[in-house]
Amino acid sequence: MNKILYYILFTILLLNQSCSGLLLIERVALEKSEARKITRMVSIEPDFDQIDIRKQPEVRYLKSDRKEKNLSRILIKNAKRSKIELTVIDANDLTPTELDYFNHLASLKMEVLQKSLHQNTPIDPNAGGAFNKNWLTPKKSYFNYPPIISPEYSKLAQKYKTPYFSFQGVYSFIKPVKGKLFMCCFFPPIGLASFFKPDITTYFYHVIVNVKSSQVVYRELRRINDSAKPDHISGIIYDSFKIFKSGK
Amino acid sequence: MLRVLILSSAFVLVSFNLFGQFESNYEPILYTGTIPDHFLHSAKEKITSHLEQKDDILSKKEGEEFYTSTNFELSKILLSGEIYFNDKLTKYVNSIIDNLLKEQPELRKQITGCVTKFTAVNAAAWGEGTLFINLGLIARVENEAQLAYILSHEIAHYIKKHNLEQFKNDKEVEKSIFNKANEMEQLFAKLSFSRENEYEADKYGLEIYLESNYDPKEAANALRLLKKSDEPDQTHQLDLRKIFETKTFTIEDAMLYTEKTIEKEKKDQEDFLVIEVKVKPENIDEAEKLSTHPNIDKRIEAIEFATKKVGKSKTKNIQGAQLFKEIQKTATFEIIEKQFNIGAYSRCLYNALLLLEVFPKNKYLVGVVSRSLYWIAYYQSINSLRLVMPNHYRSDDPAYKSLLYFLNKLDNKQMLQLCYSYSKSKPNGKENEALVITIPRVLDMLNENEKAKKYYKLYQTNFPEGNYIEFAKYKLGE
Repeated sequence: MNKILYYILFTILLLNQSCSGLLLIERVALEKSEARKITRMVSIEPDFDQIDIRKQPEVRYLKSDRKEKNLSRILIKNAKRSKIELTVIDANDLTPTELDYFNHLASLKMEVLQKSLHQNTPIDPNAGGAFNKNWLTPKKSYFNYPPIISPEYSKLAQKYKTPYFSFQGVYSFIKPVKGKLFMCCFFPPIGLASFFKPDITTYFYHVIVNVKSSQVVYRELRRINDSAKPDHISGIIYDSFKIFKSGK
Repeated sequence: MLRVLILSSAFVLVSFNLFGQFESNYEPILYTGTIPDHFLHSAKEKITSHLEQKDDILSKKEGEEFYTSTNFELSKILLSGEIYFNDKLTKYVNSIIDNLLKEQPELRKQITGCVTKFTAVNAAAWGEGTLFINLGLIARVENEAQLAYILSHEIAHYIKKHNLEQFKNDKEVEKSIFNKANEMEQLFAKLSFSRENEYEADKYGLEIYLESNYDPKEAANALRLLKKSDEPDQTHQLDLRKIFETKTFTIEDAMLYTEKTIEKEKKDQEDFLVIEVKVKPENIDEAEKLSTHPNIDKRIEAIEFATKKVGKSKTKNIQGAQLFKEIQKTATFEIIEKQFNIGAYSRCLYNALLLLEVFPKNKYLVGVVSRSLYWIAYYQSINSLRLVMPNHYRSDDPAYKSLLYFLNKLDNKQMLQLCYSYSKSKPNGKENEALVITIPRVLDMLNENEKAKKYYKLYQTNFPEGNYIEFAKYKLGE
């Protein structure tokens, strides 16, 4: 009897661990045919930040820097698999004459992320002050209208030969789990299995804007309770491009 | 006599020319030339070079932590698009540093002045010699000498390696067993050390400043100005009827913040139980405990005492009063641009309206007013107005308060009509790119799509190379 109870608890805990992720995808009603036409896209300064509170700050910076470079490679590789030619603009690799980054692209990124957050609360007028939380609260439906940005960036479509500009980022938080000893005493297999594993939460965001129409056409936020290993991130990014490309 | 006449004529011409550049339009600063090396050096390169130069303050391990964190953060700031380079503001600030460190060429080489797009009245010294000077500070100081004193203060922080010392002190405070139990005590210990550093920077900064040809009295005035920077300006006035009333848009009395409104608000407040919260601590010393900076009155007093006997006749503007005014005006325009870009639409609208009193024909300012009204109307339409515009209760500046009161009184249709009528009423509006693109966007929101199309076509004809051309084409289905 005890054994059965133990297995039930074991299964519940495993299910709980695997289902606690968050997936929030919103997109403008892009028709399939139009979505498939997207063959070129520019990604501006992908972010990678790994905050490991168990370690010294300098380790965090150095690790994040290395992984940010890797993220660009993963993005390009997965875009290619979805038949999208992705140009990644990385501020750390600028040449002395690439002023366009400072004149337009950096401010476009700020504009898109800021407007996307500001226009995240169409339903509840009182929720205006708490916009940061909205990213983490799954909504029941896709957004009622696409968030809009200033149309002055529409000229970039000519220059980069595509109206689609995208912004991606990975944030990973690592902290030691409390109460591990309790788990080890009462549920030894699970307790021991998780004893050496810290508490990790990884977020991935992906925003795509059409500068010609000045609309955010795709927004995605995912949370996985696992580390930001290249394999995990690659899977998420592959999936993200597939969803975007498949249209409505 | 003839010489005086020629000089006066030249002065008038220069003045005319100075204001002439802001009279009709303003082009926000664009990055030109090549990106400076210190923007492009990677954080890792900077860390390595810092770790090679041994310092006697930090241990090897502390140095690794300090230089890694600060250099990655510095790279992030430099590459954020928030720092100007190769522009007139940066050149001006660096000329002031040249004047201050004329006698110390080796030190001058280590210091770089960078102007940030931040609007707060502030400046900061970074560990490796980068001084950040905010737009807000340049727009607020009254002359070059005041800016020079603040720069001397920041240079002193760099010379005295205050950030290294602060880092070391913070680490020691955190490690201390005595303080471990009490976070508040830790905070006080850190802040106290920071205040000591500020006094030292004042003292040493003043020495640098007095070596230059800037007026000694302006050092204390600079601090007075910083003291006043949080206080609301009570002198501004806006005649909203004069600004916004047109043949198609009238302002009712109830929309204006008048004496009657103030009385009514007071009466309404009396009806509620108002609990007064004392924000200010009982005495100055108590307030000082919670601040990184020492009490500013004490600092002013100390500087006034130190400069009392320095009687040499010196100048407020080494590079000339005209250039200072031009720089200050540029900073003010750039602040408006920045406020617009970060979505602070009501603040941006207010500042543009104030500047329009000085330059009534400025196309850029008229465009900013129109575009800000559009975005305010847009956020109102999606029930998110509070993200871009505060309630009028929140402002202590009477003119800004009355503008907020007025805008908050309008419903969405009225707001859109206000934007439309304002944009339409401007003479030569068809030559203003921002107006020609904002009008059809407002019409789109009013569901007058056919009328909007005419304006998109007008945009296409008048501005075939304009910034919004692709958007206009999209709207026309091209």
